[in-house]
Amino acid sequence: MVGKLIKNELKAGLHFMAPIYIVTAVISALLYILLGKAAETENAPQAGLLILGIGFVCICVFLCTIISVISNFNKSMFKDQGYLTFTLPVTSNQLLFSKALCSFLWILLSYIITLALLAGAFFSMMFKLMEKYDAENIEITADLIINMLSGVVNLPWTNLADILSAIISIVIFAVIYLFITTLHTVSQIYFSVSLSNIRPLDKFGMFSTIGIYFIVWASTSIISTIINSSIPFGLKIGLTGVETVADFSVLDPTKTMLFGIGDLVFPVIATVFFFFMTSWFMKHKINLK
Amino acid sequence: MSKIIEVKGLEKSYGRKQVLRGIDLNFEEGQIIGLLGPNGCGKTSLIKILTGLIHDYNGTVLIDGKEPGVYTKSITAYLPERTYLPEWMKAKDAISYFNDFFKDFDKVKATEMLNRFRLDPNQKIKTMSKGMQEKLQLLIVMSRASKLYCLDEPLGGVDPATRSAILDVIMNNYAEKSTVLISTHLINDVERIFNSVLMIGEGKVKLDSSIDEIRESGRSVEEIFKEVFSFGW
Repeated sequence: MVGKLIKNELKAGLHFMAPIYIVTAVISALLYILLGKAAETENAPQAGLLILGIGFVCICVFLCTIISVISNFNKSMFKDQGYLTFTLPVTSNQLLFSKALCSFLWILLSYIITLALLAGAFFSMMFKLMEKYDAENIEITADLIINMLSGVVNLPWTNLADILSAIISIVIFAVIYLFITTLHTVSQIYFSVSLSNIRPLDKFGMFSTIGIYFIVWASTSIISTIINSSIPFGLKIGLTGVETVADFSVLDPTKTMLFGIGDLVFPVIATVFFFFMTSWFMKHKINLK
Repeated sequence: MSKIIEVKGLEKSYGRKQVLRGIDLNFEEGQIIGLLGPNGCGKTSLIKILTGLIHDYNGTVLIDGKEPGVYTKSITAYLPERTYLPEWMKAKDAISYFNDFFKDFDKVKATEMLNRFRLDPNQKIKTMSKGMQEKLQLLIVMSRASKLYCLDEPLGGVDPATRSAILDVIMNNYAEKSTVLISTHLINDVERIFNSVLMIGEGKVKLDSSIDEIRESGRSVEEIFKEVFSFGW
């Protein structure tokens, strides 16, 4: 039954997500063409602005995905469609698992699209410059881009090997961290939507969901910060890569990102708690109107 | 005959408002039961409890000897008073969906009924009229060979000709030996198909009687309904 739930959940999700992806593809194609032209003329400010535009598209894709996940979960569980969902011969845990897995996959896909869009921006510039300078060597072209962007932002890399070494360690960390944070986000959303559909909070509709989500997000952030300041051990992420660190006081917050126990271990515990509570609400507390 | 519905001391409240106040029921399989009562008397709440949609009640509820759960949902076909199919689905998607989840679903029968009702399998539910959506839901529910059918106001909001067609679909398609629980306030149209009548008012069972007993009294279900609830029709 879980397989059938996942299949139908993905099918339903595709109807929400397809329009977002189509719009994203059209806008990014347009931005890439403009970016190619900016690279050709070596117009650094224009290229920087267009990269910002692509960044904005990435943020929009992510936000639209989150809104779709919330809306789909709310509709399929607590609105009219809930009369079908809750009368299927499946357990609430199976239901929750299939929905959470699909939401996780959609959010993960939005991250992949983001990375692909940014990589696409880099390569569209690279190919244009290769064309212009007849550059056969990829290293020379990368240097050209670095030199061009160095005029806009301060980069610590001097060659392609630097970039690759930093990127590999950051990507490995990012995959693990994205996995944790995506599941954590899904669990927070599901918990907030479910709690807001329980009496008497259900009277306030979407305001209740937003309010609860904000409280949940703020509470977990505060707890995470307290844990980080109490246990000084974590990972330091900079443009040069990922390193472990046990003394936070020596770090320069403008040049590195720090991930402590509160960012890496606490979300896992919180995620388990939120999913457990959501399942309990579904079993014992939800009354469809 | 075994009991399909057993309810003992059932109580349900919404906040301070108590809608069911100690309901006791027993229904054997193979009956068509009319669940009657004025608006807001608890008919829908009772059906929601039987179908496993409401959990926070007091008392005992057993469907085919089991508490509402995965098993009871697999043997209960439920038609709510609203459209519960996702709007993005086409008629054929809805049929595939039920075929995926319910072992007792007959896809061939559903497709045949879809043609008989002249519904386009490729039409999106969002673009269907309310009447078309109701027909689609009914044919999907009645394409199941379930032990229990819970139909909540299946005749609400449709014209007399459609009412008659809906009753025909119900009568011609429910599985043998199964029980059909129909909630309605359009007594005149449906009393001909009932075997038993359950009247609920003020959260209590006002009448639980077989149709034969009612006929022996020389009165119609509608007359008894008026008498029990003491208001003009």
